[in-house]
Amino acid sequence: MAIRGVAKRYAQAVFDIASEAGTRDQWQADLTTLANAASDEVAGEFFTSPNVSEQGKRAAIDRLLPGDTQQYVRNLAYMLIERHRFDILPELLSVYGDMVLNAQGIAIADVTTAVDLTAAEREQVREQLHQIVGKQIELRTTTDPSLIGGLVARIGDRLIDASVTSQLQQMRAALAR
Amino acid sequence: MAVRATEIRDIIKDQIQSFEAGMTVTNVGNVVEVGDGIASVHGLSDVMANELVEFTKQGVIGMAFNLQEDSVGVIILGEYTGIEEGDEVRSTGRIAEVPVGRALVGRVVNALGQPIDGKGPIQTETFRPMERIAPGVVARQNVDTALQTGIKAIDAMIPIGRGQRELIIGDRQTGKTAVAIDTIINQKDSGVICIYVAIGQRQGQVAQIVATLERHGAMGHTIVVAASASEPAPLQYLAPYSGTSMGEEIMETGGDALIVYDDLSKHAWAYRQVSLLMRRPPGREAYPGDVFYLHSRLLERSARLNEERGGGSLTSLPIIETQANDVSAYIPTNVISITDGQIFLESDLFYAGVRPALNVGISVSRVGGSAQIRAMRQVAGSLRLELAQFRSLAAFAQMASDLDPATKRQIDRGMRLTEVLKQPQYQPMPVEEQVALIWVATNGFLDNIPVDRVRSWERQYMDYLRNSGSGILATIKEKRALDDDLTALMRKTADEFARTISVDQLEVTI
Repeated sequence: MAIRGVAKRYAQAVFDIASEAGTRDQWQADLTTLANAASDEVAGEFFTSPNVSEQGKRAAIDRLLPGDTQQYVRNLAYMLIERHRFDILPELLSVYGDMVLNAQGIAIADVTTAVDLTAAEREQVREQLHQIVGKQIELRTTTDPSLIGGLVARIGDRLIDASVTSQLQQMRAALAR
Repeated sequence: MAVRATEIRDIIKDQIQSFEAGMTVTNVGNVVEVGDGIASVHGLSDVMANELVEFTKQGVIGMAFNLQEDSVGVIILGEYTGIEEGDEVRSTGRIAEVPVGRALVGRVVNALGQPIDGKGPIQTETFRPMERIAPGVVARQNVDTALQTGIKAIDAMIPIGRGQRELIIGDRQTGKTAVAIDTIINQKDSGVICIYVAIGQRQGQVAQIVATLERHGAMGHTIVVAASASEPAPLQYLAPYSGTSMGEEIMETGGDALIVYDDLSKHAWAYRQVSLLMRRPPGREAYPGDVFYLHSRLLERSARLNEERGGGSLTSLPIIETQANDVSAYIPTNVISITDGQIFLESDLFYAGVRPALNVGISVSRVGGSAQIRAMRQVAGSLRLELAQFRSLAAFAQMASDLDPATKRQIDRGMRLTEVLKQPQYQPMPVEEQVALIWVATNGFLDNIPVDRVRSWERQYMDYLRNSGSGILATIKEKRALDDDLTALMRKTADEFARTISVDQLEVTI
């Protein structure tokens, strides 16, 4: 849990720099490269191992990032190496991604339904959720027949439950009382 | 009443037709870590402090305890072994609450107010939050009514008033619980509703106490809240607060309530466990920094409300168990400083046969005489004085072989008064009988009775008073004060009794 707090601070700083320079997309791409390196078993070990000198790690970063990469990205990578924080990169990327979406007014909704939605239905769900949340909705759909009918949508920490299963459960609770 | 199947069918049909379950929007999170009765939950960003949350898969309820930036520390109020990492947790929008009201009287419930006595569900519609801010100064008034414990030594010298907090403190096996139970038994006809909160006790002990209360007809005005040793620490931590909420309901509807916390040492242990699991920094004796506030916010909720607010009261008798008579340990000093006085029980006295094993020298009640009826105040003054003189002489008298007559007289008087203050368990004494007895003892009627026969004398004299038709007891009860006529009558009656009985007729009780 603690690591997420750290990643959040770095992500906020990166996001501010990217927003000022207007290079959010480029940062996203570069951070993805770095995050992939950090989550790769061999490369991650290399970048976090105390047996490898800092110069060695810096050199590897220089080779990893293309020549035309922004200096700031390199600086971030160097700094994380120096501070032994290279392993937070995947988390940093995910927090950064959330921040970018948030800034664009986009929210990701995980929608679970009993049966597959048609394109028209998807549009309808998107519109409905947009009205509830007040943001552009990006839908990620899954199906789960145990819902029987209706849908369950999760946007961040909010859960919108309109499934038949949960309504039946509520009815059961109400009758038992 | 015979229930017909068609009626049931109609009711259910009705309920189904009127049932409305719309879409629900809730706040959710996922379990990151679980164990030892607590869970760390990621998400739940809109949860309130002390809000109840539900572990959806298991249906177990928890309470949001630690609100952090990215996670919420939840104490699990129930079976936690089935909960896994990644499980969904939903907020309920409800603050932790317990059922309250007169329907609970006579029942045994757990820390959440659920019945555990097998007598069926509790029919009450009223709920109260477990945690609540204590009534402020404007809502209160002075403690001015006595809460009779029925124990001679306490009612005479350490009077407890309605709305007071009086600590009962002592080592194990010194009769702390006995004092509390006797007090509960004595409230049978006083209209005071009693709440006994058992924290971290053995299940068997709780069952025994309930059986004792039932045997003495005291369950009819008592609620037992039990969080025994086998229950998770979070429930032991919450039990006193839920008991207090039940008491507050009585108080705020104009009634008088008495709550016994048995005991707050174990409550502090339970809170220490929860706090350490929540990674709050440990302080002295590994208790968290807010362990003082833990007890002060609990005991501050005892109050005597003023007349505009119904004039109800909540009296509390917290119990603290000391180790080897050490009252300077952390928790005892805390609770001593919060309460309005303390009753010290000592094992030395207990084994010397002084039961209740009250140390009258260091026991105090800061409310004092205003919580006594006038008649008791009149007789208790000299009792207290004579006992104090006796104590200062007693140690000295053990060395000296021959004493001057004045000293000897004081020691003799003191020994007889000590005898008079002894009292068997489960036999609370009405206040008018206490007054009559202490009056004869402090006025020298016992001086010619051998010390080992004083208790037998006392028993026969009380029988005589009840049956002689002198009306002394009834008059004290009615007038609540002693005047010249009454003292003359008491003197005459005591003289008469002395003539009817010879020392040989009294049995030796020591």
